[in-house]
Amino acid sequence: MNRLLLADAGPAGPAAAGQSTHTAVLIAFLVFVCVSLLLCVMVGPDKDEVADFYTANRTLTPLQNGLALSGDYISAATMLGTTGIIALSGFNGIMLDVSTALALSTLLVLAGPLRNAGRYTLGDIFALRAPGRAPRLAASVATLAVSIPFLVVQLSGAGAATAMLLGLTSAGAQQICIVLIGVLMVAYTLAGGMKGTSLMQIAKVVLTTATLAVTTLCVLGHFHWSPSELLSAAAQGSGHPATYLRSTSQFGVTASGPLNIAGLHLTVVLGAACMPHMIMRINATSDGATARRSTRYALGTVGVYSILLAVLGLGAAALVGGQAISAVNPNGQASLLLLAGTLAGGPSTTAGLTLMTAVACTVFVTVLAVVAGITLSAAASLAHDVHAHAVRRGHLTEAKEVRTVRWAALLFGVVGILLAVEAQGYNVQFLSMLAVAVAASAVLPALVCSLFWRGYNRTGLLWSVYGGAALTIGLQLISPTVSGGPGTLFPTHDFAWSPLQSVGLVSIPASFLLGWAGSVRGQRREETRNRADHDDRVDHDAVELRVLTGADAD
Amino acid sequence: MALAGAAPGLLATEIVGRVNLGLLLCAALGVVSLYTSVRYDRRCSHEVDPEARRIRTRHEEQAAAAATAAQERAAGRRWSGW
Repeated sequence: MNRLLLADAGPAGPAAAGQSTHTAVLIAFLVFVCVSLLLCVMVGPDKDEVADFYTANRTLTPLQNGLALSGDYISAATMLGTTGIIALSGFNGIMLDVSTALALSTLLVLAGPLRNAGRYTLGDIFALRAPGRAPRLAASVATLAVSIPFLVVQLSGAGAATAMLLGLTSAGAQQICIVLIGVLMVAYTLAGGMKGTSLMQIAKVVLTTATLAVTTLCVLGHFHWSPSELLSAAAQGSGHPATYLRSTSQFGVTASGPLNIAGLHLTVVLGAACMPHMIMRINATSDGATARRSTRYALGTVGVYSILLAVLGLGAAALVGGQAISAVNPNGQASLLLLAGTLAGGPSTTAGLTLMTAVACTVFVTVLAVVAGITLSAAASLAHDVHAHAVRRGHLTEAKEVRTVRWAALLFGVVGILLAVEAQGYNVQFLSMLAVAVAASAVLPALVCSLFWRGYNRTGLLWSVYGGAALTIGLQLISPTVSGGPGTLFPTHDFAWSPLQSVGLVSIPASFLLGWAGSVRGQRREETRNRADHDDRVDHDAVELRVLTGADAD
Repeated sequence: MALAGAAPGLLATEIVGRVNLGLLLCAALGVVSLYTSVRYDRRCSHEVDPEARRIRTRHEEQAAAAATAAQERAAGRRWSGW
């Protein structure tokens, strides 16, 4: 029976989907774009206030914020990548799925203190123990180092997926799709600010959960509600039934060997939730307790997602087959869309067509909402950290700062679009892992130390942020994920001198160590400088009070 | 996860049909983390938050008192100067 299914499912992907699918998908896209843009303009900030633009005046309820947080967290890379990895590598993919959900626990612990201490951006938290311009710049650099790779990988993946859904395959069509999505993303950010993007996220989460739940039910119904039937079909379909449901030391093209896999999990658990746009979202809650509550709701939502994605990944392996999935893309990014094309009778029936269109829309919406969130946080960092605090030293009127944010969003969007268009045709999948690794090794240590360690100072902060980022990017560049093999950025060159595929295992501890060493050194220098300038002295008691209780916070 | 590196064979033990121990452990990990997060949040809002609120209120009162004192001092100076 499985053989039959496979033979059936092979050609019935989007390649065979008729013209009607493309029209339906296109109409659905257009309707969605119009409705959401209208919504964004309607709820967007009408006064030029910084708090309004960055945090929606902190008017969102914990549940709304939790939904938006989970929306920010489940990016298109997560959604498509996780299903793909589960479809191709089985058990290891499911472990990664669990790690992704676990990562929000890291944020759960940090959320309360983060909100108590923070105002809008990462720089506000860095400024706790290290006032001045250099830490603000470092915050902005860290934000961009995470946001740009993440944006490029989302945009280029989205361009390819959209073009595929519309039945276009040429490189030019993919680039046009990237530009269109990029323009929409900038438009949402400019028109909506935090409130607009939040509403988009909430709408997206509701829509996505519903669609994925229906798809999951279809998959389960197809296998007569029996998990073991699904699992054996998936193992058969994957092409390597003996190892599919076991933990193996080979993890697709991403990692091989227990150490690399452990590093991958460590990076995901520590980094995935510390992305700058997540931190900005945490700062949109009204106080520390609300931030914690929001994260709890988000953890619940992401937990549901993980289960849905696991079933869908297995379903894709069972119904589409590992061969057909990796034929489209070696990372399995297409598995979700291929699966949707084969369910409920395929695109020829009304039910199948509706399902396929709904899933396509879900992917499209996910991309749009997440890239808008990333753009917002990067633009906020440029305007708030660089322009308002590093260049003007805090003497910038709110109206001017909001104007700067808008220009910064435009600039960041254009750079992102250009890079994504340039990257088309290369395999940039490693950028998604790179963004998470930079977040884990440049942002997380600085955050944890800033919040909880009295001895942390400017030198320590700069060392851990710049050192962590440089180490991560450097190690990643000479790792086997960038060059010297199929499915990498430069398959023909080989400069993979380092055997580490997941660099987090080295760079995260190294960044903590650098932070400690730098703080000790900075402390000593401070003492030898004879305590000349008392203005720069940080009142650690006040900082501690603020982190733990939220006193004097706004 | 440590088990997955150390004993892949053990995890592949099939419990119910094709559902093996590894999958069950993954599910258990998810459930435990969700339960822990709920407990953590509840506990924080019962035990930590009231304490934090108390400290914050006291701090704000102190700050307000200090501000009033400074004002009174200033007023006092003005009176004595006059």
